[in-house]
Amino acid sequence: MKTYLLKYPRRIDQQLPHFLKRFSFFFIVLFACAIGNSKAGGLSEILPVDPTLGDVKPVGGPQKVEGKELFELINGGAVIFLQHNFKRALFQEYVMQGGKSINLEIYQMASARDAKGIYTVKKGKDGAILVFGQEGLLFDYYCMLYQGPYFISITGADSTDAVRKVLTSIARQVVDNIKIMP
Amino acid sequence: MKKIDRRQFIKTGIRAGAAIGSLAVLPQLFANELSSDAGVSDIAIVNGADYFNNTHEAIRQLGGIEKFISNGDKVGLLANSVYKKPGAYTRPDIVLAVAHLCLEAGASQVYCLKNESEKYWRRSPLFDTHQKLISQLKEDNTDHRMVDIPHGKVLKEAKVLGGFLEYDKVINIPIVKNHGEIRMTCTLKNTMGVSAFSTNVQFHTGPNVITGAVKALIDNYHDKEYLAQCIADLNLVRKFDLCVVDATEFITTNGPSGPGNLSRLNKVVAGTDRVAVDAFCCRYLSLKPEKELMIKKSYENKLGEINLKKLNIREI
Repeated sequence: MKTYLLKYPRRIDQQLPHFLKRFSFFFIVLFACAIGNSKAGGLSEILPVDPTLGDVKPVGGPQKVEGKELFELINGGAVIFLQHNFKRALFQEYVMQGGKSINLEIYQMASARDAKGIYTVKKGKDGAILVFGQEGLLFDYYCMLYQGPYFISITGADSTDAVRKVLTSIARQVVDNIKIMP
Repeated sequence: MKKIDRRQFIKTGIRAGAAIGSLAVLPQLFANELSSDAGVSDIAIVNGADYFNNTHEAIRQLGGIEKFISNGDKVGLLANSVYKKPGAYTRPDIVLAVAHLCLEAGASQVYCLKNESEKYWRRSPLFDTHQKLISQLKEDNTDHRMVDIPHGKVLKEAKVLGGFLEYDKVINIPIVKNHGEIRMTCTLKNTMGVSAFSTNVQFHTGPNVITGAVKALIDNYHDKEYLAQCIADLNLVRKFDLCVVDATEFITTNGPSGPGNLSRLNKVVAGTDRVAVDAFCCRYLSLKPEKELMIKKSYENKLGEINLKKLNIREI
């Protein structure tokens, strides 16, 4: 009995380096995935993928920023977000038929209260009320809304009905995607 | 009826002419700071939707591009082109118009200090027809360099683009628009486009914090006075030879990045005095120049004139 107790830990010690060698690649991949996910990886799940967007296509992949990196991206415009406990963001550009661009920005704040805070600061007057999202407004060439801890801003290139239709379509899908997030 | 001789007729005619002439001049004497009398303007404003030609006209009103650019000059253009939402960036048409004039005046090279991409030029309706001009524009490949600002009140040194220091002539081409913290951005604020990110962060965080620390950034950002003084001090590094402001369509809320409420005025404003040009453009954002810290501090740094009544301003 005494011998067994002494031997058992020794066997584990002996096997550990071999175990590490064997699975080191797996650990590296796991670690890399964890870093990737922590940097707005989850936000990508919110992006609209619905084919009902029709001729609206994404241009390149999404751009992800975290914390103070936002300052590098939108300069002085970042400070108001940092003051409202900004965590991370995802920017995706789309292009409509004819080349008009649509810019989707999803900002994850620390809480729904923070998202509402930044929405309240950013929203303008006289927008049309969006019937989805916790609160949202549609303006002539852009819309803003929040859902949970996410503040969403979508901007079109001009003020046409076609642009506004795409804005609301993307906004609705983003909100739907947020709702089904675990 | 009393007869009048020829001499009397001429005298009466001259008096009548002078009276009619003075009636025509009087409204101009009493008309605010805007005038339309002959001569070279200090600030010129051109209205209309043809932004390319209106930019040419605005510069012509200042005395023509030859007044600013000499044969063989290397010219650096500083446009506010980093944002992509409507009303948040200088229209490419205006930048192209300035570049076109510089090359016509004999500039050997025209450099884009912000290295505008093809994506930026594509936003112009002139993209297809002005391919040759776009291909003539050079990227600025100079590194940032530390310069002393001996007369700066809070900013004693700054890291700025080498090209900004080296090129024979530099032209500031901002868009006037709302700025969330300092209320407006125009020529003075656009100068931050030549300074390094680390220098610009310091403007926001103050001199005694670790650059890039988020908490410090948030805690210190409310110091608008410091930010305004930094901008005024940075502008001491070099005077722009010419300023051309895009006031065609710009955001009046949610600046600098937007999206926000758009004001569409279809104006191009040109001048050489940064303080005066910014002071003039205040009206487009319903601001008073004497209440804007950045403009006041730049005036105190002797960068230009804040009193628009001293200037010849022409709007056409």
